[in-house]
Amino acid sequence: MMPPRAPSPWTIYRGPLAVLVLALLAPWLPVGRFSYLIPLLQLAGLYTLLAASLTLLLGLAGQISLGHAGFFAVGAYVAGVAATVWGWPSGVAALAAVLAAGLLALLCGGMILRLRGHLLALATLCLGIILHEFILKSELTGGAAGLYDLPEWRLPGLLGASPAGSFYLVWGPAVLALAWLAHLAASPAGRVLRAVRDDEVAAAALGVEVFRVKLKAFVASAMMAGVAGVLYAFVQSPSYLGPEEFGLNTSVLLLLMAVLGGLDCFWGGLAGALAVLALREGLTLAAGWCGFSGAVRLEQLVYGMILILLLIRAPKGLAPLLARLAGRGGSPGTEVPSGLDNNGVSNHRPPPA
Amino acid sequence: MTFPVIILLFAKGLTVGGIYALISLGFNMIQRTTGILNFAQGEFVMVGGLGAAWLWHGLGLPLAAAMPGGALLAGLAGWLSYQAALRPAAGASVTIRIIITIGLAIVLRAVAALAWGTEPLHLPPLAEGGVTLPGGVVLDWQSVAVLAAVAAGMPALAWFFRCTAAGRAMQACAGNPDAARLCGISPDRVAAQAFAISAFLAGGAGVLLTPMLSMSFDGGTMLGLKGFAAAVLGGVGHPAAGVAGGLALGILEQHACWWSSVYKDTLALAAVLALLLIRPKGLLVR
Repeated sequence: MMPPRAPSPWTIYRGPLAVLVLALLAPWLPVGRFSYLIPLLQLAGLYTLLAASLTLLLGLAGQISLGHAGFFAVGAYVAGVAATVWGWPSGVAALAAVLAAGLLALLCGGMILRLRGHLLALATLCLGIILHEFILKSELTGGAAGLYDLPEWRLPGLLGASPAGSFYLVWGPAVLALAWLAHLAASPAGRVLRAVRDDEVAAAALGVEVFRVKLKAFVASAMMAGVAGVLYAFVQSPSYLGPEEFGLNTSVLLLLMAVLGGLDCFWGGLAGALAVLALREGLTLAAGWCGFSGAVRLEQLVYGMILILLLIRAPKGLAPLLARLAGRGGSPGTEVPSGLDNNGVSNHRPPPA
Repeated sequence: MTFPVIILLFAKGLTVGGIYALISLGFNMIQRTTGILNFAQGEFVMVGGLGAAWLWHGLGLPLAAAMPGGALLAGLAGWLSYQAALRPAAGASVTIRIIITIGLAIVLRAVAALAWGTEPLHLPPLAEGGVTLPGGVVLDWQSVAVLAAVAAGMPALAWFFRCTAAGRAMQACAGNPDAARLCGISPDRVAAQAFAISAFLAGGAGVLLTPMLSMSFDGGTMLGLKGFAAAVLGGVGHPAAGVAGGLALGILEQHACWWSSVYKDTLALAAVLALLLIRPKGLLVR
């Protein structure tokens, strides 16, 4: 293997820059009867941030999480409860929420990150379900009824009155996260993460403190999900915060988005989130046109089949495929040799005796 | 906690745990032969239960034919699932193939809802009454049947793995797919068989469960996860340990339910987490 050459800032950041330009333009493009797309695109920004947190954890560090909706929930509910029940200013509540998600990840990760593969999958699954059940049953969080009338964040001035007022608030952190992923993937820290992903024993032999590295990635990933939670509570859905969005289905959906988009690419989360949401929206529209009774079920059937087909056709994810179709081999410096099979989900075969 | 309560919780826990154990057996089989963590395992349970109910209600078959019929239908669904969705992705990474099973679960749920509707379906119990346990607790025959199925299934599987060509081929693939291929075994065919058999086992669990709880198109997901928890709790790759894991999970759950019905899943899963941390390789695996 060739020794890695330090890529220039332009090669690293031109991808995130393109995403930034597109995100700045996006809320002004759909006009007239297409303006209903703006909230949908805003939701895509939220999911991009969430899927990117899994790109970091699963794609770079090789650790699976089946409970990421739990950290999303912690972000949303700590912010929501602090702002409405305890009456904190929304900025302080938001900060506390992100810190709470990180702290929880630090405590739980410290215990469960020594587990690998299926065991880690089960442990994070348990964690996610426990967190969801807590917000569903606790009186503090309003239980199944949820919380109402949270403080709403809008950009000040002229923008605040336009749809872009909340759009930019969601996409700002999402673009930042993508840029950070691109930066990380090209940095020494990113190489350490990939070393841990590909072979923990070899990484440890080279002097990498494997557990610390995994824990850092876990905490960073959880804090990204926590930020997404805050944005959900204060920007996306400030009138009502309910437990439906934070269950196991969301955890699985995020995993689907991250893997479908491509784990080896900084904008895999973006591609996955856009693809899944566009597919759902398109199928809902199509089912509406057909308008017979089984249309909803048929829609689900086609949704599942297209997902399977995409996964079979693009086994490295949509982002590398799209980059190749566009005539370029992804963004240099972020592309890494695939180590997917070593990411801890695979079956670890015992070494030959 | 009085003596009859303890007996009751254990008996009910063993019944529920027996269901989890059956699901975990199939889960283990797929995991060992293909490395895939099958997210659609619970959907096979659902197909078994709904399929049997449909054969009985819809086609008017006798119960004795509808029940194995439901399990066979699930086995067929498993075989078809592999051929249609996972075989074309044979070259893809394990991660991709795991995510494909998520898509598979969505498809199976949608097909079941289209074919059998969204209302829960029932099956009549095998027989009225039950056996009386010490302490005056009555365990119904359905629960006895579940335990009997687990008790019969384990030696049957052991015989399958040890004494049949197909079972030995499966073990060879689990040990070393490349060496197995050199011996003329097709890992592809073995994987298809593993999907069919494990879906059959899961479908059997669904058939046995439906008279107790009824079944609807989205009722399998949580059961599949519990089966996964049972398999991992026991120790992945060790079918017998998975059965122990299932029974332990069932008993844990029933006790948690007795302490706090609101937080029963939380308590049971917290116990699973604690067990994972104490015995990271599984309950019975050293």
